[in-house]
Amino acid sequence: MKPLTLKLKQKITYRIDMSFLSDAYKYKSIKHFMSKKIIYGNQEFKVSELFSVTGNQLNNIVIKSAIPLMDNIGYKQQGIRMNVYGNIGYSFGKQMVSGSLVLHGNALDYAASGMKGGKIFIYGNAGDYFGAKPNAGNEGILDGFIYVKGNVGNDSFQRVRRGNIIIDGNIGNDACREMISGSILIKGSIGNSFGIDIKRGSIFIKDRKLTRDYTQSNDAEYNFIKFYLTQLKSILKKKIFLEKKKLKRYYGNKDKNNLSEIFLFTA
Amino acid sequence: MITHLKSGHVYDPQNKIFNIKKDIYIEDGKIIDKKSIRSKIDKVINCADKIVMPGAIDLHTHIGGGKVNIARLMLEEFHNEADGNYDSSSIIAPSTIKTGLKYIEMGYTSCFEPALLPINARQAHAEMADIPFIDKGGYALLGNDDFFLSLLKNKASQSMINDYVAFILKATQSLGIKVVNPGGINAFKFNQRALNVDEKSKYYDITPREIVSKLTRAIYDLGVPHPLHVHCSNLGIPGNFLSTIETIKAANGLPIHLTHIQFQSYGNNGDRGFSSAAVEISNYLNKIENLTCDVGQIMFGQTVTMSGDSMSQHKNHKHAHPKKWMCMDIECDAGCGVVPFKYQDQSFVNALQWAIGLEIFLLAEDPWKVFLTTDHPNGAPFTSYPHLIKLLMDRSFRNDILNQLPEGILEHTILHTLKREYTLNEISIMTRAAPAQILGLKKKGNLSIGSDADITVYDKRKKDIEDMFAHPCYVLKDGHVVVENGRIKKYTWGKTHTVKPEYDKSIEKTLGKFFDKYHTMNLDNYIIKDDEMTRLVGNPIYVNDCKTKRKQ
Amino acid sequence: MANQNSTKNLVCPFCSLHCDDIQVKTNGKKYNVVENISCRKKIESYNINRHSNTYPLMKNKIISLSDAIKKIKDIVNSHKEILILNHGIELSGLRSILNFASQHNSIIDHINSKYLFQNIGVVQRTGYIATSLTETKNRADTIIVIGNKIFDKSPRLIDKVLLPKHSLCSNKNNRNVILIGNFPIKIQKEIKNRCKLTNIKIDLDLVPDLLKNLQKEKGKAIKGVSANTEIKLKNIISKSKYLVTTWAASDFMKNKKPEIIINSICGYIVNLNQTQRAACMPISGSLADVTSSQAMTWMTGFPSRIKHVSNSFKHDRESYDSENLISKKNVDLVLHISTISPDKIEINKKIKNIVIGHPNSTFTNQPDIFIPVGIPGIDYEGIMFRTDNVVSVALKDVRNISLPNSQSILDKLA
Repeated sequence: MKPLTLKLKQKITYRIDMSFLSDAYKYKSIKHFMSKKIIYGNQEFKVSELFSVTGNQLNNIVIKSAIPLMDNIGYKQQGIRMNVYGNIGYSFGKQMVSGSLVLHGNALDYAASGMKGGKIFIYGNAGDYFGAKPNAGNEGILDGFIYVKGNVGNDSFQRVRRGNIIIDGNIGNDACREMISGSILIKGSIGNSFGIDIKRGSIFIKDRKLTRDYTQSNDAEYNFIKFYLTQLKSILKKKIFLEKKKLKRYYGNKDKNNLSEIFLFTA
Repeated sequence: MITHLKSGHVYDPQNKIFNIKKDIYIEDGKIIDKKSIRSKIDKVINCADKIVMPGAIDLHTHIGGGKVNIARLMLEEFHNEADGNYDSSSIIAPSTIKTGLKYIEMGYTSCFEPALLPINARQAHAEMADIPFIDKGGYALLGNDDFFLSLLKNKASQSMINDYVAFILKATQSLGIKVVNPGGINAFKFNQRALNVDEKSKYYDITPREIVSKLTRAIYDLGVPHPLHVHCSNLGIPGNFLSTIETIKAANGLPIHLTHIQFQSYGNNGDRGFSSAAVEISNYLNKIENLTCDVGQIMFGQTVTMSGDSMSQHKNHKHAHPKKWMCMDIECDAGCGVVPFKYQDQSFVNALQWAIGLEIFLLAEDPWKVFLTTDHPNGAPFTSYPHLIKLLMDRSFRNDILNQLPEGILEHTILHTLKREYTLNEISIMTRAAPAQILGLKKKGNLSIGSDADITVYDKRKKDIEDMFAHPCYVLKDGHVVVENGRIKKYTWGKTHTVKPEYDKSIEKTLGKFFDKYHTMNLDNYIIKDDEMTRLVGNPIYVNDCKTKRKQ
Repeated sequence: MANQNSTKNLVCPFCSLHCDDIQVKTNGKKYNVVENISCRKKIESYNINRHSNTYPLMKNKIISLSDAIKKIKDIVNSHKEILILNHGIELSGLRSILNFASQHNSIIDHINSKYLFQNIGVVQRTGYIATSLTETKNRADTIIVIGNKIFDKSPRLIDKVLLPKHSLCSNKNNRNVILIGNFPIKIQKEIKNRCKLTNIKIDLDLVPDLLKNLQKEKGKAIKGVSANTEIKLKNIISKSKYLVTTWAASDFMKNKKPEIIINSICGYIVNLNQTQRAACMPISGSLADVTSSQAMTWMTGFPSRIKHVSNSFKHDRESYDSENLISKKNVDLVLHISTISPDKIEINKKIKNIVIGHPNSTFTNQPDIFIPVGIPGIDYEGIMFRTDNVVSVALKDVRNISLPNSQSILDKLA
């Protein structure tokens, strides 16, 4: 068994909706999948007409030489694995339910928007509106694990409900607005207006400025944090930047409806 | 072109034909007499082993207008049902195209939008114009508009009210008049949160009873075939069966149609303060001659409730699922409220609502007086009709579901004691002949010579009655075979049914002045003209007869 | 056809109020507004002038309509990703656009989608309580106007709705108008002369904070609003019997967070309704945005940014964003449909552009083919939706200068 590997046969100029890959595992055979009709421009093509396809695992997919015209990779995907090489378009992992998505490259805006579960790994940068609310929903990421090696753009993580998010790079302006809950670990710098109207959640940062409206708690033992980081490490399968770092805990102001906590680490 | 439906088992209740082998001939969209055939028969459809009925008629289904479109917009996350034959819009808020496709595939050929806000009528008709296949029509909402209420407040004569009602029918191209929470929608605009049948509205000092009395009288006097279509006060509130009964009395014995009566038949007994009053309501229904109703059965699952009743919808918003909702006050005319909702079989209240609807069906002695609806999409989408028919026709099927409902339900419902199973005869009455009769559609719901050839042919051999009703073999609309074995054969576009009773034009002067002063539109532009219906709206009209105008 | 110098009733297509009380004098070719209303000049500016084009142009040379259509057909057939960009059209034209798109698997977007989605976002995410023009006219006793562009967009809003001559249930002289934002002195004076005015001169980004404060005993201080002003506001609002807030979403677009501003307004109104009556009345749609979103919603389930894909319309707010598609050249043909406004149309020279539009249209670059068409409500009849989404009007024709209507052209192309 080898992963199903797709590569564009020729240069393309129009946006292409890659959400058809999320259903690949439902096909009886590779042959059926290859003759599936997809739209490119205003014409229908068989998958095999646009892509050269090798391998045979319909639930384990590799996209090679991806380009920024490819939107909706991993859209609503359930249970499958996908590895993508190259820079891609909008809405990577939009409303994904489960499984894993790995991107070796950069993603445009709206990656992980409306994510419900599963794991996303981005070994590159992500654009604005990362983990955005879906068009018709009032909550951002509902659950899941996210790792971004590079930077994340503006307006990210609005109204996150649950989830464990690790960002090794920097994060743009207006992140975590009205965050409902969940945990976010940020190694790099943080843009303006962080965490406006935050409700709950745990945030790991190095920027002392952000603790202004918070109160430092006494030096509790951080056994749970240790345990939590170990768990994250086992998912990420590599070192987490927080390991062996000293953490100070700050808690939010109840009167301002802020029940969130900040773990400040020294860089 | 002549089509021959050969030796089918025909159900034509209006002509007292039940399960009789018969031939039907069709030419130019009408049913014709065999004797009048002069040319050769072009198409013979063998109907041996088939059941032949007039096309079904849905007299209460929200298929067009502002609130339906709000629901479509609001529920975008459910629009993921594309499957080659249909677009991706959800069946709880389907696109116009999907509405037409799903109805025609079930053998429904005429459907009526019950809440046509007069000011929104142009939009509602334009939307319905984009529904393929079916004939349609609407009932204009009155009874909460400031003009009507000021008429009542100023003690206007019944004849003036009649003129206004007739004017509205004409101006909005409607088939009937509906009143929703009489006076209540208007009172809500003045921050009243409830209005009982004999309670006076704060601003206009008028009771719902007066509104219902005046409107039932107007419709009777004008000879409009369809009785006043009433969505009663206190919808959904435990104990509301009393106000339902008072509303029936308000008609003073004149014809009245109570809609989605399931939502109006609640008692407040028991430790949860919520119980069935289906027996009390059915007693009235069986006793009173001029009273008809449709049920508004609920089914378990996600749907969206939409109603002109902004007062009760604002109250319901706490139960919204998913958590979003919208209410609107509209143009001194009425209001609307859209609240998504999920009926859950493990909820005591929802389970009892399900049982109450079925109790009303099964306690009704006369199928000519009770109509099969789910108040689409309020109780459930219309695609659940075949399932509902099976619930009515198959007691053990019904009881199997009943037994899965929360414990304690059985103490509150008599459903398990009701042995009745509907017959095909009765189903054919309540889905065809009876709605055509109550709406005054003479050419519909029957297979008489000269009637419209809207015909549904079912496969008699199918064992599962739900399957049979869900997938007719043939559906004919105006004589064209539009569905054959589940496949769409041809797109056709229906007509809009209206009535146009006569009236004294001087009401237009009074109303014109009111419009100039208080509205943001001229009366002349408010009126939808007949030719506008064809040219701009895209929906040609068919004018149905009124009974002779009665003496006032 | 109009007679020599007859007076006709115009149902105005040019802003989303769609007033129908405007008389015009017309000789069949030209029309002039009879009364002195605030938008007279604007309405008359749509008359044909010496810069107008009344014949189809290809590369700036006049060609016949039939040749133009033939040419466009060839272009359509030889291009592989077509975007139909709606700059304003009435219902019948829109039906034809959808029909065309379903034949050619095209993408459809409206030029104002980004504003439209601000107000639609509220409906889709949380919902709110809305009201309509006539309701406001007759019931409102307190009106909060947020943002100053609204009166440019809808010049007669004050006269017809906010401070009308007649009102059924509210004392029109006793109305409170609260202006939030930076309003021209002229508007302030006009309102002050007719009712009680409270002027809150703040940056619109502070609106959410202000509304938060109004719901609390004491909130954090807001630059430009004194404690006394806050008390005064609370007082007015708590006494109000029917409060209306109105805004134009496009007004907030230059602010940092338009969505947050609109959400805060709608959330505030929803909260007020726990005890009293209040409602929102967003003003939108100078380019038939409302007509487009309404009709597309009922026909496809989605308000804008759709593409026809195997028997169904697919919606994607990011992938079908016309601004991106054009600037990144992800489409190779743009079909601009612009029947209402002569506003300058952006033409990206690097792709093919066809314009079916207003005879007074101007462009940043010449399109490949331009077909001038009649204006709905001036040259032909049609249906359009008002800003409040519930009222649609039947437009009439007031002149006849033999321009084709866009629907007939689209139908020929499909």
